[in-house]
Amino acid sequence: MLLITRRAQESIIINGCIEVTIVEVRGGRVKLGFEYPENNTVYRKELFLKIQEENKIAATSKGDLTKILSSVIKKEK
Amino acid sequence: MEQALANEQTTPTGKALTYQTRFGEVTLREDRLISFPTGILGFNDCTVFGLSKIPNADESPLLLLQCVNEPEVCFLVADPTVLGLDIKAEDMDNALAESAMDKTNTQFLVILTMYEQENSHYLTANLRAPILIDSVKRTALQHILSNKDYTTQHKI
Repeated sequence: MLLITRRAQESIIINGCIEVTIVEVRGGRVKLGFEYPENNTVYRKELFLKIQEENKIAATSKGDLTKILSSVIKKEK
Repeated sequence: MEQALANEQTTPTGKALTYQTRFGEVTLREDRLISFPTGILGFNDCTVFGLSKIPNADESPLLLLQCVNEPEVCFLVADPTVLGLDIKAEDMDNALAESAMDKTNTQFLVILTMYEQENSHYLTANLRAPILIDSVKRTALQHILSNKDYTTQHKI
């Protein structure tokens, strides 16, 4: 892991196009600001992991599809 | 990775790709595939998919999103509106802008998970992270909506 120490208002540049700025440091919390080209995404890690986990469960989920499909048809109506 | 494609056949409309999945035999048309340059979260290597109806359930609105380059990966998906689920227009617009997808040509699909509990069988939909597919460019991605009100496990 690359470690860099910054003060408030200082920044970091990733891949020459993503800028991370330390906006404020207060009460044990750090406010970060991000500027980046539009085909990039920035997510809190816990949210990212949550989606990843849900995808993995979905990819292997099994069930009685006949019963499930008939209950879905009921919902549509 | 063991078994790749079950078989490939050439048809007048283009090559058909067949897969044996946990839902039955799925056939995709090679000329109708969808590219996911960044894959799907947790499945970064899954960069080519195809959409198919569920085998032996033509009338069902549910679809299968079958991975071509990692054939054991297959998701049950649906257009949220056919399940009576709502992603608000404002949230869809934000998603399109954040992911730089074309508003006119992009379709939203949600990934479904099957759950079995004793005698009950139900589905949940991941409304928080829909799949966005540009049906003209044939490119797609999974986008996490910034609105926290949507859940990853909306019970249907």
